[in-house]
Order: sequence, then C-alpha cells, then structure tokens
Amino acid sequence: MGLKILVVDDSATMRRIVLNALREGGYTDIIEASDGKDALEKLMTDKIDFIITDWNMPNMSGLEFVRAVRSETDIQHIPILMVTTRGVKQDIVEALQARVNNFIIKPFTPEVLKDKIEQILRNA
Amino acid sequence: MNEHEHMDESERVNNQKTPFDFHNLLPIIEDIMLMVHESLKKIPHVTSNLNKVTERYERVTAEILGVVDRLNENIDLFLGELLIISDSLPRRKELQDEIHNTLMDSAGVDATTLLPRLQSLWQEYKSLHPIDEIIQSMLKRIESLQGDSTSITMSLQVQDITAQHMEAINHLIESVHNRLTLILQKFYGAEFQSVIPDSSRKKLSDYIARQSGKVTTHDVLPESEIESQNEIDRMFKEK
Repeated sequence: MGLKILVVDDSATMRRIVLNALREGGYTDIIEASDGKDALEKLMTDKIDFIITDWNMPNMSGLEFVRAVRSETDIQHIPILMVTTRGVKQDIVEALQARVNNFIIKPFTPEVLKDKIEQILRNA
Repeated sequence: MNEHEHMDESERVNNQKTPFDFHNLLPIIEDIMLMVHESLKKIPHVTSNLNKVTERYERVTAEILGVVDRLNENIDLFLGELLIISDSLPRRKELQDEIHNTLMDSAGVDATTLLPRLQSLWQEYKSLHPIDEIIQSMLKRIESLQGDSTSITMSLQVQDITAQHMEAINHLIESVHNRLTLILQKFYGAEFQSVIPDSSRKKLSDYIARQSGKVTTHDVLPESEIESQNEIDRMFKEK
C-alpha cells in the first residue's frame, strides 16, 4: 500500500501482534521502535508516513513522545494512532490536546486497526 | 563541663536516639496511618483488577482453545480433501492416457465403435470427484485457517494487558514494602542496618533510584471510569 508505518511499543510481543494485524490489513512497510527515544531517532532518519504508538512506555511515555513529535517541524504532520490499555476520559482529553489523531483500546482486532488507519488518512 | 552536666548531655543524646520518645513517635504513627489509609484505598481496587485479569485470561484461554479446536477440525477436513485428490490421481492419469490413446489410434476406426468407447471413458473421468470443487473448498479452508491464526495472535494481547496490570500491582507492593522499610528505619535509627535485611535495603535504594519515570499504580489501574471504544470514537469525532 506504500505506507511506511512506525510501530512504537516497549513490549516485543505487542509489536509482533501489531505487525501481524498490519500485515493482515495489507500493510507491509513497517519499522519498529522499542521506546520514544528510539522512535524519534528513526523518525529523523527514515521517511515515515504513519505512527502507531503505545501509551504506557518507560522513560518517555507515549503522550510525551507524541508531544515531542508535534514539536518538531519536520515530522509534526505525521498522523499518530495511539494504542492503550487505559481508556480513561482524562487520558483521551490529554491525547486530543497533544494532537493524537485517534485512539484504540487493547485488545483490538486487525479490522479495527485498519479501519482507524484509513479513517485517519481520509481526514489527514 | 562537670560530671552532672556531662550526664545531662549524655542523657539528652540518648533520649534523642530513643525511638519511642513521644515526639519521635508521632510522625511515625502519622506515616503508618497514611500508609494504611493509602493501602486501604488502593488494595480493593488492585484486588478487583487482579480478579479481572484472571477472568480475562480464562476467557482468552477458552477462546484460543475454541479456535485451536476449529483449526484442528479444518486441518483434518483439508487433509481429507487432499487425500481424495491424491487417491484419484492415478485413475485420472490412466483415463487421460486411455482417452489420448483411443484418439491417437482412431484413424480408420468406425465412429460407432469409437464414440461409445470415448463416451464411456469420459463418463468415468467425470464421475471421479470434481477436483475444481474440492480445490475451491480447500482454498476456503486455508482462508479460515489464516483467520484463526490471526485470531490467536490478536488474543495474545492479553499478555501485554496482564503485564501492565501486574506491573502496577507490583508497584503497589513495592510502595508498601518501602514505606514499611522507611518506618522501620525511623524506629530503629542507627540500628536499622542490622535489623533490616540486605535485600530490603537494596530494594529500597533501587526503588528510590527508579522512582522517576516509573509506572504508578494509578497509571495502569485508574480509579475513574474506563471509556468504551465507541465513546472514544465519539470524543475524537467531536474534536
């Protein structure tokens, strides 16, 4: 599909699951990062079209990572989909304020993931 | 300094060291009360979450076992279909050869003899299991197997969800442990080193070192209401 997706999650298991779900949806150009710092480095060297990030990560939380992306001129336009175990209103408000494009609660299905990606790309 | 003054000074120092002095005891009691209060507030929530984790694990395990049963059933049916094709292949090949040879040797043969012979061979060939239908059925089974495999993969998200809940619960246990260690430290003062086991002291220093950026119980086990995916979608639509 030509979309280069960056998957950010500290859990290797979860990265594999997201990768599987993405492949199921036809997305094959995927790179991985194990935390926000690693992801920011990859964003500086690779041309990424879409970011899927976990919320709960050590050192730099998903929300801090989103804020960091949105503060960098060269990458701030990249759509971000946040994946989380928590679905608390306050978090969602914070995510919206940080300009996260959409939000999925675990566990999700490949269909929901694909649907959200397409929805974000349509609105981008 | 005379002896009396010296004794007073010594007594004063001793009194300072005495952990059970009322003035020393009050903040310790306050600490204990605070710890008990915090723990009482969080422990029922943690217990409820542990129960949810157990229930979720049980549900996911049952789901996976159900998918594995379906997967095995589909593999058996797939193998059966493959066997039908495989068993009919030698006769198919024989009939193809016979039809081919009959046609090749047909020069000068009377049509009234040739046609019934060809018809008979062709009927038998057609009566063998229709291979196209079997292949279609096998393709559907492969799709179903792929779906089941994805379903198992997605069910394994429970591992990550559980890991986060466990981390939060572990955080609470660590907090209680370290608060207790700190309280004991205040009680025992200088004797603390000999009273508290090495492992606890190490845990305490590790805990303090790691506290910044660490996931808290509240981070993973929120006390406020969890929104559904539909509610979240609505919030994003309204933005």
